[in-house]
Amino acid sequence: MPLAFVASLLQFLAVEAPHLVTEVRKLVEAWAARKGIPREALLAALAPVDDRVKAVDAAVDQHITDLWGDQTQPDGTRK
Amino acid sequence: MLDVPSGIRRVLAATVIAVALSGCGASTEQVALSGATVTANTTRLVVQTAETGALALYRAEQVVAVDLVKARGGTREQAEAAVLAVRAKWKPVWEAIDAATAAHAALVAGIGAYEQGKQAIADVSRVALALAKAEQIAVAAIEQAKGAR
Repeated sequence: MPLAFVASLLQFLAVEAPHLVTEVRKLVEAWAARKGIPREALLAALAPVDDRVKAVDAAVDQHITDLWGDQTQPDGTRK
Repeated sequence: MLDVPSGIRRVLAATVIAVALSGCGASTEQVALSGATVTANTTRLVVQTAETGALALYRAEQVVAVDLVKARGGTREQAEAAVLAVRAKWKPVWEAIDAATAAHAALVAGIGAYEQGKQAIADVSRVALALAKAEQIAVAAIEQAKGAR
């Protein structure tokens, strides 16, 4: 079972079924310890979270614009 | 959502064993190295999972705040103020996750340095412990942000 698949599965569960994460995590840890994951299988480093936070913020800003409309005037000021 | 104490116990046990065996032969060092590797992988999974859940909550809280202002007939400025309050509350979470990410990168680098003979296994174990602490802080920050809703 590829480690990347396990990571994707946990990500899916975190969003869709967070109540299952604790148990699945125990299974994953037991699996990882049993397998003795080799050095070459070390997961790549996570990218800084900043870009993902900005993506969420942009989506929320768009939601605000959808609800109230774009009130920015041609000169960049707000009505 | 996350079982932090068991994670810490696991890492502490691996670290204690690693440090205790650090002065011994290559085979015991391999045991310690294996422990550090498992720590790197499982902790990364935990941080990644926690981050995904946190981002989903972060988005949901903002959308709920905006929708509430709209339902009450509020202004766009009020909606933006409500969103800013949510963003400020979650800022420590992103800082803690970045710290955990950096700690993970340091452990991976430490394992690589050990394999090249540039770092002692005891140092690798200490970095593994630092990663466990960073994970604990990140998860606690998320729990605090969730509790402050």
